[in-house]
Amino acid sequence: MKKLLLSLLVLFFMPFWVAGCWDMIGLEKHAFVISLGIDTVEEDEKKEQPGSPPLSPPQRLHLTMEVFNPRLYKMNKDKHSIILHQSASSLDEALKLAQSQIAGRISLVHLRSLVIGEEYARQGIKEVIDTLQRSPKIASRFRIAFVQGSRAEDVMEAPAPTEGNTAEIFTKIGERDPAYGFHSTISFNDLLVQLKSCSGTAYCTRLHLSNNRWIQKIGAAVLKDWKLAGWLNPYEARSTNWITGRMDQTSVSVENEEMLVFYEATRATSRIITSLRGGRPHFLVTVKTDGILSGISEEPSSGITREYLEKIETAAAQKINAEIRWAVEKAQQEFRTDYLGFNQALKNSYPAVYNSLNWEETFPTVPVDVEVQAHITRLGTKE
Amino acid sequence: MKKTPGDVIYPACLVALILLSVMEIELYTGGSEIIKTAGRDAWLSVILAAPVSYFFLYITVRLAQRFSRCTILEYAPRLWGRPLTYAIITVFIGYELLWLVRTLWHSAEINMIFFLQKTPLLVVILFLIIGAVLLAGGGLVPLVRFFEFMFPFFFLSLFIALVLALSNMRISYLIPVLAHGIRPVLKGSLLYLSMLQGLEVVLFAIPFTQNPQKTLFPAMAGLSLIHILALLQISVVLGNLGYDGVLNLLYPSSDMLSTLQVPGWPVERFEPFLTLPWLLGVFTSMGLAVYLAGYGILQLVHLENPKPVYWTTGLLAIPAVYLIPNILWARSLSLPLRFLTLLVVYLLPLVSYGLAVTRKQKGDEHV
Repeated sequence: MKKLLLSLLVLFFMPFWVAGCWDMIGLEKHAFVISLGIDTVEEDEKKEQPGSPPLSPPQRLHLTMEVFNPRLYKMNKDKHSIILHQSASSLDEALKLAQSQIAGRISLVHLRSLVIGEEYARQGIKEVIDTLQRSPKIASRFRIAFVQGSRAEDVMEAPAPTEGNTAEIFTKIGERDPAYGFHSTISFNDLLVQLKSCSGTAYCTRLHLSNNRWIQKIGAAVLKDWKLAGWLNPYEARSTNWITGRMDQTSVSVENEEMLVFYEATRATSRIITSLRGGRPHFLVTVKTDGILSGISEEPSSGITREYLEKIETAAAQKINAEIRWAVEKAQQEFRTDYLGFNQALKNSYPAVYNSLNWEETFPTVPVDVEVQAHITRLGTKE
Repeated sequence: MKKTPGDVIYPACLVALILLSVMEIELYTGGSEIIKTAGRDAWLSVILAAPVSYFFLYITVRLAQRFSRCTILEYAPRLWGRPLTYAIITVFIGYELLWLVRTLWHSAEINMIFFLQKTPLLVVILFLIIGAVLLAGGGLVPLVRFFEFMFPFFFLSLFIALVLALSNMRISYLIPVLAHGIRPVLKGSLLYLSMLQGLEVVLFAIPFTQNPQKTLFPAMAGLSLIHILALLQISVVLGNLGYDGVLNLLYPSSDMLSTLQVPGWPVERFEPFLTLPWLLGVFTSMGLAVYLAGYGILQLVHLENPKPVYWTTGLLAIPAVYLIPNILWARSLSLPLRFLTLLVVYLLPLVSYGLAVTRKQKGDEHV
């Protein structure tokens, strides 16, 4: 009897005890943000702003949000999402203010991409990165990209007829889409690791809006001291990817005995070897590639012999070697910052030496040697 | 089917008991303290600490087998004398209470960050404590049965999460080995050893086993599982986030799972693989801490009805949680806890065993 009474009492109070009810929110009541765009606040917009409360920092961030709309998806519309805009002094404040524009509760659980406009990126991205990293709801696998010459909001409002929403385009750009070496793609987590280990220096995805408003992935963006420092064109991005190991697959055209030969590198491994010479760091970049002979402008009269393949391998290695030297020169002389990962190699091998140096000052003059081995492992389907 | 006597546990249950007793909030913190101390070589710290922990566990099991039907608090007067035994019991109660408060505070914190932000904190911790006290109130044998029942859910989900994370890890984040010398690695090993709160349960569980002389292998197996999971966890956290990426993180395991991309899997988020083992680990550890603290108090005051002691112990932890304002204060609580762990888990069994051997004490007579 005592147990029965106790059980009834527990059953009676159980509905009041369900701890989750305070936080319960139905799936249909969420507004899932799939992409965020960040820009500076435009002058016109600044004038329209109402008076700020005392001790408030000025509005400096314009947030564009792409919110997935299941209704549009059901109706088979070209675009399954809606775009919201909000200006505020910080990302967090903008997200809270934007809630007034939409009935569902804004949720970043399914955030797929972050796009940052050039003007904002040049002022510094540390604050935005910190806010996103602190949020427990965000999965840090989302993709991050910088827009050259346009605002992030322009890119997010660009048409997406094949994918349904622009976030999907960015995700495809970043995920399993073959890079062919001409651009660099990175997840938020990888960017964070790079930025933290290299004092705010990194290189990452660059987007460009073409004249017919198509989104293009091309080249790379270089960050220095948590700010956008400049851009790399597609060939510069490829030469950088050789060193950093972000090379997926690429095609190298070489000239051999007045014939044009196309070598497709299908696998590339790179390594930075550090040594000390007279107490100063010295680097050796080694790259090994396996690839296919993907085309010849004119076949040699003697046919394709082993000697002929060796000549092509040597020519391809020389070409890649020259590209890598070009990438090092670009980083050392133009950007004067180490987004190639030499600092990490030195820190790993000689931490005491690294700590004793001012790396930003030392990097532009450090000697770098390059060794490349290119191998042809297949000839395609033609002998 | 063979019947089991109600007050006896099988030696094999020690595997589940040790694993669920020791692993709790570390599942979320992902050995971040060890990584911050030992850097990229944190995984090596676990490997180096393992033989030391095996040695101490061997001594602990041998001590428990020597007094096969008494707990350490019962035979301590024969080894240490009454005044010192009272001191040991007081330290032991303080250690268990500190462990309980620390675990409860971190569970509340993780819950507020990741799961139930709007639910009043009191509701969450009250439920956890009520559950833990009810679990502890039944005594050690039902507690072990519960651990045994929960073991597959705990181990499998955690193992799946860690194996999935292996596919994304980069070995380059773990090398070079010993770039900063051996000292940080040894410090990391000591830190790892001081994090094995709950291992002292062996001293209390062996007297309840069916055959105390067959408990060494299951105890070692339980500890080995802890080492394997810790090694896997530290390696995948480092291999996915990198040393610099872990430095400022409070809960790297959750961050690590949020970076995962596994082609072909129909799910986007892998964090729930961590939620279930964490919840089980925290709950079982709290149940054990309430039981051991209450047991220590009962040894001091000799009450006939133990339940009020367990309820008081559990409910006292609730106001204590409110006294810790933030994570920085909670961290300062970890230092004395680690020191007490070294004292209770390693030093106490070692010296007790030394005294038992030199004084030729053994057997089950109570003093």
